[in-house]
Amino acid sequence: MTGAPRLVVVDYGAGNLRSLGGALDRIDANWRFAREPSDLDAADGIVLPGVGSAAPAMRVLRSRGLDRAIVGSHAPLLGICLGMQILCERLTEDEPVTGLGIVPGSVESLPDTVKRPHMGWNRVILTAPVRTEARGIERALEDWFYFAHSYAVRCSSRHVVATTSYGGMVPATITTGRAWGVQFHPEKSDRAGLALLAAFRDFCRGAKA
Amino acid sequence: MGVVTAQPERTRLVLARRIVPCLDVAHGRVVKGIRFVQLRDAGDPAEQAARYAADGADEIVVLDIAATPDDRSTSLATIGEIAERVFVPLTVGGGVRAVDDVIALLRAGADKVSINTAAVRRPALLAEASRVVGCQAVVAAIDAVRTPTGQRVVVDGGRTMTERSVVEWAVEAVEHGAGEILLTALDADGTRDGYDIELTRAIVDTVPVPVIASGGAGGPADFLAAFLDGGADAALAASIFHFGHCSIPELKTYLVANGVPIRPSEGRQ
Repeated sequence: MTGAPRLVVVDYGAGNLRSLGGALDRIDANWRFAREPSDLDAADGIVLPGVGSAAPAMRVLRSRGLDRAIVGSHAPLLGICLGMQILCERLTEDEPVTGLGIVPGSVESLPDTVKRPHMGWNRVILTAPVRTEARGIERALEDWFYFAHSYAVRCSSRHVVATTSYGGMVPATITTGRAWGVQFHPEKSDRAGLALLAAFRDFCRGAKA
Repeated sequence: MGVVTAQPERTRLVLARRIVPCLDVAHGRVVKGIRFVQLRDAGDPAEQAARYAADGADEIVVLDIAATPDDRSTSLATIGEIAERVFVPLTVGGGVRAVDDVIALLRAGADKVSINTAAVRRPALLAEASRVVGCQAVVAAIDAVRTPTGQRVVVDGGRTMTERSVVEWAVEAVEHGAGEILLTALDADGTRDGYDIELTRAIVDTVPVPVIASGGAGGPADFLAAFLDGGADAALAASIFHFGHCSIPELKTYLVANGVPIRPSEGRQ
């Protein structure tokens, strides 16, 4: 079957999904919201947004069975900000939270030597050679992106594709191959962000073919 | 793939300082007053916001200045129109009184919500909002006025003086959960005589969150002073951008030339 890859945006509660939807419209993506596990069945790509705290986010995902649907899907996955962090196994905010466990690693507070939240535009740098199968996404990462977070992923450098600098190196993009997590907000990162979303859409098209 | 490599000198990084145009909105139209009096019409909010984003604005603030005095909530439709066209962060304030207002604005398309009068009257609102939406989405907007006994917090759009010290309130607001401070020096607001650098520096040195300086921008040198002398993380201006006294690309070029870390305008990396 040909045609544009079908993307879903997981809608599991609070936050600004309007900008993400607007950004996907701007790049002419074929997308809709996913609110039930079955909404993920036919997806060629999954976007997992996230704003706010990990505990309530994971509670909502679990109560709707979306957590298992996301982990069980074979479609490429893009987690954004908190949506990146909950790809990990463990998160520690006010309380310990178990994440989706897609990426081996944890999430911890940024050091108190820097202002928290890390809020604003920062330069993202690739930390590994560009891989042929993901070159669209990886090339789009070398740019300025908008960050707004107080916690950061800690995982093996094996899974880190790109970093940014804020009181040390902060993982800006992680991957396991199928799943990607970006700490920044592509939907808030002007043309650089739209280019990255377009690259993810194209990656989903490649994975679908 | 694998090892995180050392960064070469050219890529040593610092967080960019933000240039933040502000749209003062009343009844769905952009206005800008001189000290909140004598409003002039400067256009349609979504048009203005899209123009600023195309010019390289790092963030856009929309303040519904009619919301508090008239007891009306900020126009959610206006926010939605902006959010669907503009892909830079959007901060919205004006008339925010309850957590439900915060959630409604975020759902409409805001990334951050600024709370002013309601937080001064009931600081726990900041904590409640922060718990639900995260501190990165909660901005404490503080309007300051100079008095013989120091900078005092004013509320109700500048009409009601309080006994609160600005520095003390900023600290308390952050303790309650504000993730950023939007600091407006009302004495300077609309004068184009420059930001209140002393006040900005006092807050920047006291709170552990980003600070947006506001009030008094008249030209590029004022932004430079806000960043270098005031230590501000972001600098907000309204009228100089609205009425073309200063363009964002020119401002960014000037700041880069003066050593301020700035997100480059499009096409220049």
